[in-house]
This record gives sequence, structure tokens and C-alpha cells, in this order.
Amino acid sequence: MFQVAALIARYLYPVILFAFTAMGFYLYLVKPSASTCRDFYVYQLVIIVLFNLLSLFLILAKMIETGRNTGEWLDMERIRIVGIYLAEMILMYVLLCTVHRNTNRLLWNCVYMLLSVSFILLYRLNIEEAGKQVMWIAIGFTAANMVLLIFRGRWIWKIPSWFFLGISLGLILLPFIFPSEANGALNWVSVKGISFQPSEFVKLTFAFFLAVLYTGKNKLTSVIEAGVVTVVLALVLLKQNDLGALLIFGILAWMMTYDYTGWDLVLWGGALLVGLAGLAAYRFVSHVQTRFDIWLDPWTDINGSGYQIIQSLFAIVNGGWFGLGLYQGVPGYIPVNTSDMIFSVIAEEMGMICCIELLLIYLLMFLFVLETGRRERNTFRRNLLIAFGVLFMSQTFIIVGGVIKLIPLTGVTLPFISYGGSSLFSNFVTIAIIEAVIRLYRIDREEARKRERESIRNKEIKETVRSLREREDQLGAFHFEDPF
Amino acid sequence: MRIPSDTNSGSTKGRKSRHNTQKTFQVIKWIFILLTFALIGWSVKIVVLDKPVYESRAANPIFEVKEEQVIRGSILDTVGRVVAYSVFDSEDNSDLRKYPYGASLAHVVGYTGRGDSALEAELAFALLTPSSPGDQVAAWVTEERAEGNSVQITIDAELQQFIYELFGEYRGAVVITDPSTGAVKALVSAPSFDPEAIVDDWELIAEREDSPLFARATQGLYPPGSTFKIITSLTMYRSLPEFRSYTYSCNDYYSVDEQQIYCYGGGTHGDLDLANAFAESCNGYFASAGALMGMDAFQSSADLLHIGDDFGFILPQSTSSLGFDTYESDSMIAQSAIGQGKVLMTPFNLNMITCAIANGGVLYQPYLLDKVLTPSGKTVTETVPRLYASLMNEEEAAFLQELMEDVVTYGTASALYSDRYTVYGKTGTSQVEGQADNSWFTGFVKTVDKGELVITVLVENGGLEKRAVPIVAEILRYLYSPEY
Repeated sequence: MFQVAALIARYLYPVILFAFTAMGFYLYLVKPSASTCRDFYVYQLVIIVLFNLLSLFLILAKMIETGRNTGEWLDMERIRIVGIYLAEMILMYVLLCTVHRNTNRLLWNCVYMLLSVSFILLYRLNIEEAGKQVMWIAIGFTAANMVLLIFRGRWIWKIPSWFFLGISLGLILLPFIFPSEANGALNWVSVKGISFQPSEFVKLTFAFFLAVLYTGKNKLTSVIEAGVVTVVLALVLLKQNDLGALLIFGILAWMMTYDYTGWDLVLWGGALLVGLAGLAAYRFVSHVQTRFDIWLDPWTDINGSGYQIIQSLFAIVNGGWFGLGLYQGVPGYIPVNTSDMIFSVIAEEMGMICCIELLLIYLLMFLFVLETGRRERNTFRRNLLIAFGVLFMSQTFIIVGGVIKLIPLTGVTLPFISYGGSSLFSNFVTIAIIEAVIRLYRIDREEARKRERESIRNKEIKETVRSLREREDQLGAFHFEDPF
Repeated sequence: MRIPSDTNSGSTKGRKSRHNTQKTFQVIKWIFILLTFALIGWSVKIVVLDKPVYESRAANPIFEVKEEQVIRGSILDTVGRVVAYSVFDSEDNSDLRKYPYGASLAHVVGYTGRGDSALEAELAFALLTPSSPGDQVAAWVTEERAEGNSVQITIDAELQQFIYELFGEYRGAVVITDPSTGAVKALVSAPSFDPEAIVDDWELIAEREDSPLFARATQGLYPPGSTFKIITSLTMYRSLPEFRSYTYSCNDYYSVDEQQIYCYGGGTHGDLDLANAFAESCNGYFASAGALMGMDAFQSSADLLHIGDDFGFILPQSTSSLGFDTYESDSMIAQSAIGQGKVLMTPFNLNMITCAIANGGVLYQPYLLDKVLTPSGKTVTETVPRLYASLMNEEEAAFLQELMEDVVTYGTASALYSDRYTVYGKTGTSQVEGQADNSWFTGFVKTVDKGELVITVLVENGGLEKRAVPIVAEILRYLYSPEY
């Protein structure tokens, strides 16, 4: 009988996700008034609640089925994990509505949606990891809170670039000093039983570094400096065989440099450089060559090198548009199915329609961050928004493109959905920093308006407000208001 | 190194020095929108175009789940005799697979239980798919198992069994195909094994010295011996303008590079033209012609004849080839011209070439799956014969037919001559180092009212008594003599 429940759910999930995505894009594209925005944030919240109710219904149905088959009706471990998950989601929401009410809710709603998808998948795939993931969510959200608190201070925006450079280089070299003994990989650090992936954090500090560096007036020296640092990081990552991170760093440096200089040459030259670097790596680095060869023809070695991508493709075609339904597929055949390859699991059990809607949610988050950056007038903060937007979206593209065999597969995580402490932590911090910038933008705008009201005679401020308004007229109204 | 400059003071002077940032925003935004839509487009492509191809692949792990939910359908032969079906074993509480024709069909139908093989693997998708989605839902509700579709194959089970028994103690293979459609009527590999015993007696069967698990018809690679003279003759037709007047005086042996090539049995044939040499299977004639034409002529001939192709056939095959390197000596080419040297072919590949000759140069794609039927016998899908390739033109096919007819009227296969039907063929005896010679026959039979059939026979170590021809005679008698 559980199959019938799964059958119903597989048609409801895409509908729910569609409603959520459609509302998000409505807000982004139509830019309705502030009060309408507030209404929509609440509608989206209702949809997230519906999604989780559907998941709970499935979890319950599965428990009943297990109970009927084995006689064990109450699995306390599972109930505990679901309880923690629900509690922390509610707590997060309450905190956002009270302490961090100046932040933007659309972005948080998207994060909620992704976390909801993540939870039901991890619960289905690997209960142990689901249990750990709810812990990572708690840690990640605590970190986000810290960031939001710290970034209230203005001093944080005045940290010089060498500071971020130092942290980046220090972190990225850690795996050579404390190599992980657990999985033998070169890009993991293991200190006293705690292991993490430093490249997840270096992504953030590197983005900060570029954002600071590219506030400078002398374009040429800044670009050269950034180029040298990027090449050094790239070589270290190549040595560590972390091709996914290498790609993300490359795309980030490329896009930031283009944005900074505005030279079309950077855009085309970067594309050419990526092509040449790829070609050189293919010739001289054996694991790059392996990845490429698998990508070009995985079918010759179905059970060997091509196994991972073939299993991913099988999962996607088995799922079709609506998926097989939760618990109806065989995700056990997909390697690392809870982290890197989780997109194929979504495709298999929830279907391609859900997958496309998730991709659109990622795109929406990216577009929103970019649009915010477009309005931000402080160059550093503006750079930061673009950097984090690009970071977020390129990571999504690299992993999803990899598992659907659009590009060679390199292992990175799917933001907010993949299992993993390091990745979830850095995702939360990213969103928190973006929200902090948005909050500052709002505070600045409020202050400017206040000043306008108070000292209408002050010419300089008057001028400022006028130019600000002109800008808004130019760009169209765009509301960040919250319902509270 | 730089310290972020605070340009948030409300003045727009700092911005003036920068380029038009709106443009870079738009470019970055659209790059990622396009990348996201590339992901979506590619996903849609996988679901729409790749799904029908990939989901029925034997390596798809989803069959594991389907096997639990669906009773594997039956396999019927070309006239509807059941060759494989499932019965429920209440003792084991599992399905038992029964194979009424046992060993004779084991290499075609395959087995399940210890992994799947042959058609049981390749057609698992059809056999494990319920006839309608409604059936599956009904089965879920009633908590029973749905019944999978049946398949009808092109093999004639009685003919197959008759041929299999003809082999007795001998090892070898027979392929019988209808050249006008590509339907495979018999595909015998001897020795074989009992597919019902595969689970219990795996070790015993796998370790037998005569390797009964080896499907000789499609996977056995043998030197084609004199049957290769068909290809040599075609190469002469194509690359020697004066081939009709090319004569050779067969006197004991032909010598090339200090190597002697004798005729089979050591006889001499005297002065020969092509037709006589072909009918009498003179080695010296073809070896000398081969050395004259050179390796490029053979290689291009082999490529045009699709030697080494898999013909889109459902069962796995070994790759036939001439075995040529970049350079081959004259003696190697002379050896190759009579089907020795490094030339290796599967009986199935040789059968395909003969099909094209019988069919005026055109080859239909060989197939085994005729129809997919619902459990109640309604046709779901039916294979439509499909042209595969043109291997030679009509004149070339007529030329080879003429040569092959003479072999039966007065040459090495005159035992097959009958006035009720016309047989065309070529015999062969190939030498394998350290073993008794193999005996070959490939040819076709034309009847007035019963169409055409292409027959290829290989008998391992049956060279001395030329075992292949009597087996063909028995098959022809079985097929066309009502009193038999």
C-alpha cells in the first residue's frame, strides 16, 4: 500500500514546487508593491509547509509499512531525527522574523525549500546521514546568525585584501599538513577526528579577496595580482585533484575580472584561456584525461570507469518526468548518492519536472542576488554580491551538468541539498553574507530617506537623494520590504 | 594590496571612473541564464530521446525492483511455443523459471537467477513491464504482483532443437537467417548447458572443459578458411579488372616469401579460372591472387562488408577482423586470402555477409525480438524489418551467387544438390594450430514457395570428415522434405 502513497506524492511534489517557483519568479519579474511582496512571502511559506506535510505523510506511511512487515512500529531514532528537523526549521523561521527581520525573505524561502527537499531525500537514502545533516543544519544556521551579527559592524567592510589572501592560502595548504587518513583524498583535512574540506571555505575567502582587490582604481595591477593568486590556487587544487573546486575558482576569477574591467577581451580571452588550459590539462594531467574520456564514452566500461555516470543516466531515464516515487527506485547503485550525485536521485524518485523546478529556484536565487548587486552603490559590497552569486550558480551548473553528462563529471556538492557539513556550512555563510549586504543596503537607504526628511535644506544630501531617486526611476521599483 | 574604499558617501564621482557596470551585469546574468537553460534543455533531451534507448539496457539496475513487483513474462518462439515461463514456487516463496527446450536454446534465451543473460537480460525491460500502468496500480492496491508482458522471438524452437541434437558430441555453431527480413530462425551453439540448473550447478557448468557457457555462434572467433574465398573473389571483382581471365596452374603448392601453401588434402587441380578455382576451392589460386592485390584492397573490402560490425544485433558478439597491422608481408596476405593468417570471424558475421549475397547485396538488420505481447496475447509492439546496409551492388551479388551455385552443382558441396530447391554455398576447412581442422559451410537455399534461408555451419575439429556439409544436408531435409 505504501506504493499508492508514493504514487500520489510523485504527482503532488512537482505541483507544489511549481507553485513555489512560479511565485518566486513573479516577485522577481513583476516587482509588485511591498505589501504584495509580503503576501507572497507568506504564500511561499504555506507551500513550504505543505511540502513538508507531504514528506511527513510519506515518512508516516513508510513507518506503518515497516511496522506491518516487521512488527517494529516505533523507530525512535527516526522519530527523533524528524523531530529535530521540524524543531530547527521552526526555530530558524522565528529567528528570521524577529532578530533578522531586516533581511530578505525571498532568499530565505528558497533556502527553506531546498532544505526541505534535501531532508526527505537524505531521510530516504541514508538515515544516519540525515541524522548528521540535521546537526549540520543547526551548526550552519548558528554560523549564519553569527555572520549576521558580526556584519552589523562597519569595521568588517574595511578588512584589507591581504588578510583574505592569507586565510585562503593557509586553508588551502592545510591538507598537505594534516592529510585525511579516512578516505585518502588530498582535498580533505583531518585534525583529531574532525575532517572537513578546506576548499569549501577558501571559496568564500577567495571571493572576499577578489571583491576587495577589485575596488582599486589601477585596473592593470589589480588584474595581474588576481591572476597570480588564481594561478597559484589553481595549481594547488590541481595537485589535490579537486577539479570541481578548480573550475569554480576559475569561473569566479573570470567573471569578477570581466565585471571589474568591463573589457570584452577578458570575456573572450577567458573563454579561450579555459579552452587552452583544459586542453593542456588533458594532455599532461592523467586524471583530467580520464574524466574527459569517461565523459566522451562511458559505455565502453560500464562496470569500471564509466559506472558512476552510467548509473546516474539510468536513474534519470528510469525517473522520467514524474519519477518513480520515493522508495521506488534503486539509488543504492549510484555512488556517493547523498552528496555529489544527489541530483540523479531526485531525478529518479521525484522526476525531471521537480529537477527543472529546483534548477529554476537556484536560478531565481542567483538572479535576485545579482539584481541586489546592481542596486548596491558600495563597490566592495557590490563585488561581493556578484562573487557569491556567481559562486553559487557555477557550483550548481558544474555538478548538475556533470551528472547529466552535459560536461565532464567533477565532484562538487549541490548547494543546500547535498549531504555534508563543510558544504552546508559554507552555503549558510554565503547566504548570511548576502543577507547582511542586503540589510546594509536597506539601512543606508532608510538613513538617506530619514536625512532627506530631517534636513531638506542640506544641499549635498538633497543631491544624493535626487540621484538615488533618479537611479530608482531608471531601474524600476524594487522592494525588499518585510512583512514585519 | 588594497583597502576597500568606501564609495558609499553618496557621491557618484567614484562610479564615473568605472566603465558601464550595467552592461557587465547583463552579460553575467545572461551567461548563467543560458547555462541554466542548457542544463534544462539537456535534461529534457535525456528524458525525451535517451529514455527509450537507455531504460531497456540490460545493465539498468531498476530491474531488481521490477523483479520484486512484476512476474517475469513468458518467451514464445516464432509459432507460439513457450520456451521460457515463470511458475511460483510456494516452498521457496519465489519464482522458478522454466525452459522447456533446455540446453538447445540456452545461448539465445539465456537464464535468470544468477544475473540475467542473453535475451532474459536484453529483453528484461519488456518482460518486466506490466501491460498497462493501471495493472501496476491495481497490483499495488491488492498487494499482489502484476504480470509482465510476453515476447515472441523469431527462433523456431523445434528446428533449433533438431540442429542442436545433430551435433551430438561435436562442438560448433549454426546460424540460420531469413535474408529478406533479417529474422534469425536458428542460432545454435554446441555444447550448451541446462539453464534451469544454472543456479545450483554454476561451478560445475562454468568449469567444464568444453566451455558450454560460451556462445560459439556469436562469440566464437575462428579462421574462416576457404569460406573467406567469397570475400577474396569479391575483392578480385572489385580490384582486378581482368579477374575473369586470371588463371593459375595448380601444381602441388604455391610459394610466396619462401612459404608454401598447399591445397587441402595435398591434391593438384591443374589449370584453373576463377569459377573452377572457387568450386574446387583451390588454395594456390586465391593465395596468388591475394598476394597480387595487396592488403589495402582486402581491408577496404572488409570494411565495405562490415566485417567486425555488431549489425545492431541484440546479443553480444565478438569482433571479427582481418587482423592486419599497418604492414603485412605478401605471405601473410596470401594466407589471409584463403582465410588463414590472422583472419578471425564469428559464424554470425559470416552469415550476415552471406545474407547480403542472397539478397542482392542488401542486408536487413538481424533481429530476434518479433513482438511484445500482453499476457493475454495482444500485440504491444512489433518489429518491422529494417534495411541495415548495402554491402555490395547487385552485379557483385549476382557474380558471387553464380560462383556459389557451381560449388553445389559440381564442386565441394555437390552432396547438397537437389531438384526441389537451389542451394548456393561455399565450404571451408580451416586450420587451427595444435587442433584438428574446423569444418565450415556458408550458403543459402532458394525455394519456389518457401522463400530463402541463409545457413552458416561451423563444426569444431570436424574438418577431416567435412562435418559441416552433412549437417546442412540434414537441416535441408528437415526443412523441405515432408516425409522426414
